[in-house]
Amino acid sequence: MTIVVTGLSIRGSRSTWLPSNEAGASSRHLLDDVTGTFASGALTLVIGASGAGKSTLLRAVAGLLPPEAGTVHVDGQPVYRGRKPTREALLQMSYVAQFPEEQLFAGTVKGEVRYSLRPYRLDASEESRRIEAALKAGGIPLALSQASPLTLSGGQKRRLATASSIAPNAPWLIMDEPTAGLDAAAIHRLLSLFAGWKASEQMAGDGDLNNPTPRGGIVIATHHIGPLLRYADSIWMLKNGRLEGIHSVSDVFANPDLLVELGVGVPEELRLMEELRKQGIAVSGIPNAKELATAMLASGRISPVNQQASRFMPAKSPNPSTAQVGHTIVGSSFPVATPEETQASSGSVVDPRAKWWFFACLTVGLFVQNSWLGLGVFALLLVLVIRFVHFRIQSLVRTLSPILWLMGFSVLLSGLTVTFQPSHALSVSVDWLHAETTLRGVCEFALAIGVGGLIPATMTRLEMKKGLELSLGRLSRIGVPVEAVSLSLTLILRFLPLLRQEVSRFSAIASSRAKVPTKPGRLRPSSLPSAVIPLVLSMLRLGEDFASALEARGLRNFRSRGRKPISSRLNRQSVSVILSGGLLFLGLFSLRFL
Amino acid sequence: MRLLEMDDIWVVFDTPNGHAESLRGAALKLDKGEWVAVIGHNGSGKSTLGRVIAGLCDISKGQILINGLPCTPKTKAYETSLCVRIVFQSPDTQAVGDTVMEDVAFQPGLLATPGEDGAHARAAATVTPTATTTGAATVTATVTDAPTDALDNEIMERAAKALSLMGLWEVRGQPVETLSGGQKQRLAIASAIVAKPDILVLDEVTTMLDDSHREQVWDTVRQLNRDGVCIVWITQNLDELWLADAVVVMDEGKVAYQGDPRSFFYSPPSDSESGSICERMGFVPPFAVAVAKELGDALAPTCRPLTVAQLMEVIHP
Repeated sequence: MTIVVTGLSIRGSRSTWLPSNEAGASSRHLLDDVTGTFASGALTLVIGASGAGKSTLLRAVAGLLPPEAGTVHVDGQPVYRGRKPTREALLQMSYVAQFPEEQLFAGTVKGEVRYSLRPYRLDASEESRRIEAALKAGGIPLALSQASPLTLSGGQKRRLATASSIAPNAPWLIMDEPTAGLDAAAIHRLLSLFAGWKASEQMAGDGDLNNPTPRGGIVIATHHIGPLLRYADSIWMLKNGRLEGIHSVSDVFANPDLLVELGVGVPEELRLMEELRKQGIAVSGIPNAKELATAMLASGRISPVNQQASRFMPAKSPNPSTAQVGHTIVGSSFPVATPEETQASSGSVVDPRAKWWFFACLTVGLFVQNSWLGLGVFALLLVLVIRFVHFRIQSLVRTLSPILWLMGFSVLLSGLTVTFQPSHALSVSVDWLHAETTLRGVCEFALAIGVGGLIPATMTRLEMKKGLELSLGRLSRIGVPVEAVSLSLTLILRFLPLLRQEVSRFSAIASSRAKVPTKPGRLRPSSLPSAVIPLVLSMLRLGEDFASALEARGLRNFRSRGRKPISSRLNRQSVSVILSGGLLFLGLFSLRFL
Repeated sequence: MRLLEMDDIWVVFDTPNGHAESLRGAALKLDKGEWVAVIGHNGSGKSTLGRVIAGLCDISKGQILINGLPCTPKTKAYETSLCVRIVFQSPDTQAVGDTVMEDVAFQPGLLATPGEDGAHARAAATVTPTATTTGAATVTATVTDAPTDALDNEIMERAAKALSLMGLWEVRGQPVETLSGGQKQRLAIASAIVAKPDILVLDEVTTMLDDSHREQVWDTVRQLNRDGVCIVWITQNLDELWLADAVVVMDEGKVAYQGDPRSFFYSPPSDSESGSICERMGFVPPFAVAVAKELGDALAPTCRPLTVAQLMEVIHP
């Protein structure tokens, strides 16, 4: 039984849950025509530099990210039917996301594991047996089974999440960066878990010990290959979304350059082997520390002269180990800023105050309109401004489309007249005069949103903040906390993209745990708690991280008194933006009298 | 005089289940230009220690001396007497600005503190070497009465330098979200060094990076360290300890060991015990150290390589 991936291609898109470092690259291929087979009974590593497409591949295989081209088959059955994964395929796979401890939501430790078992519809005794076995395998004391998962330590949470993923005993275990953030002891525990899983998997096939046919395998994506490498049976190498090759561990040990070409670091043991080979000391296979030491001793080349204490005693000897990799060396080779460039990069040309003023004029100019003609002229103006600032109108329309639908509906509703006839019959008619009044109001509103949409398109968040502070600065004299208000606004805007990313992340995890086939980014009501609780916790955590980051920048407390915003003089461009804003307003205002 | 000296530091949090002690009497000394690596198992208090050093965390008990004078974290005095910057593990939540340049230049800690007379006096935490050598602990930051444009220029200049050092100058105009994880992490370090910190705390900054980006970060931090910045390097990876002058092992909120990396990997805890301190404390040494140990008597007792390159030096060509 295998997982077969054929011609898999995925492009970046904003609507699906992509790894954060891959999300930015919206136009390029995240996966490009990847074809290969994950063998059963094997531990397969998927490696590559960050952004190579490892996580994307795992999600596509696990049924969480439908590919644009190509297919994924588990045991001969397609994983996707249209844009939706099939339930049968989902049941075959346990997917463990990065930092799985963030997916916990149940009231008790036991409940957390039970949630993962629910789709398998086991009877009560089998269920309790599985829960106990999973907790034991995960190294969680049974005494904790009634505790709330949220009160566990970080390490325990991670183990619980892993335990709930292995409890269903699905043939395939698919894990994204399982060693990230783990200490050596925890990695060791994880490795023994894999060993146990593999042993039981080989038994689980047809029960014939002499000729086991394993049901599935383990697929792990990792950027930190050191601890896992020697336990892998096969290694998929990804680079820029393309599969560069599938190799065995002994291939990699024989030729560490495979890793160098991939742009991932070479683990210490491989570096040592390579160095020894360069010195003519032959080492082969997958040696451990003892075997390498034996080879070194056997060569008779260990020189007492070279061991003078002074060479090893300085606390920080210059170490060339980073240079051995032969790539990505940081240092003087980086392009360096010239003074002129530094000057030129000091912020945007137009002062944010001028931009605020311009948009304020535009908005007021909209609301003084009293005729369709005025609104038409304004819409034309808005289109011109949008063209001028190179803003993509499509993205605005896409964001606004639900609001526009709602507006259309309310226009219709306002024009509807329902009359009760004496004969108990209902008569429904549309009064266009009424509808028109509403329509005009709605259009005004839509245009105002259009202006509002331009603000974030033409200003960065910090510019908006600075502009607000500078324009409203005088209010701080009468006790208005201008700085706090403008910073809060900036932070809310900072959070929106993160929120979108987290929503799709947790909805994917929830659907993978509940084994409910859903389109990416959608959520079934039944899996709501398992997505919403982790989502809220994650947003709180993000908020805390972000607050820490701000504090670390030296933003500790707002000065309540005497804070004077720093104003600098407006340059010529800013003055012309302010003047044109004013003229525009006058022009718009005069439309009233036509 | 020590740059920073901490003694018997306790950090206690209130939780629904009662008190949780994150630090229980931790002690640490930091010198100018020193590189201290902090290791410990998950939940041992490493990160809390880093936050206390950065002045971001209240302490329940204990004493902190900066240049020999007592100081309390989370106070103005702490901020002005010592410039500490901290960089965290997650590359995604540390950028404040939309573009790379904007993010590095956003330095509210350096900008805009009002003069009492209402003039546009601004304190730029330019740490002058004279101030630290005279031991005036509270005046390491000089207040400059500079015209605003000149100060903006100063920050822009420093930002440009920091970006050049971190290899991000070419992407300065790009939106932060288009950067790779390694670039984001270097951006966070760049933003921290614009402040010209005395101490830079790096809390597991390489965890989310692949090995080649990890080495980029090592190199840039070594550069800073050579320029005299004290580095507090919190990590899970023991193969990063060769970078450090001293290793601090945290265990249950206390400093369980403090010493140089070679003794940590090679010396037994006491004469009567076997095995190294590292093994006794439940850590797995890096591969080069493991091989050196297997070489046993073939190596002189004073020969204690920490890296592959150092180990290769014993091979006679």
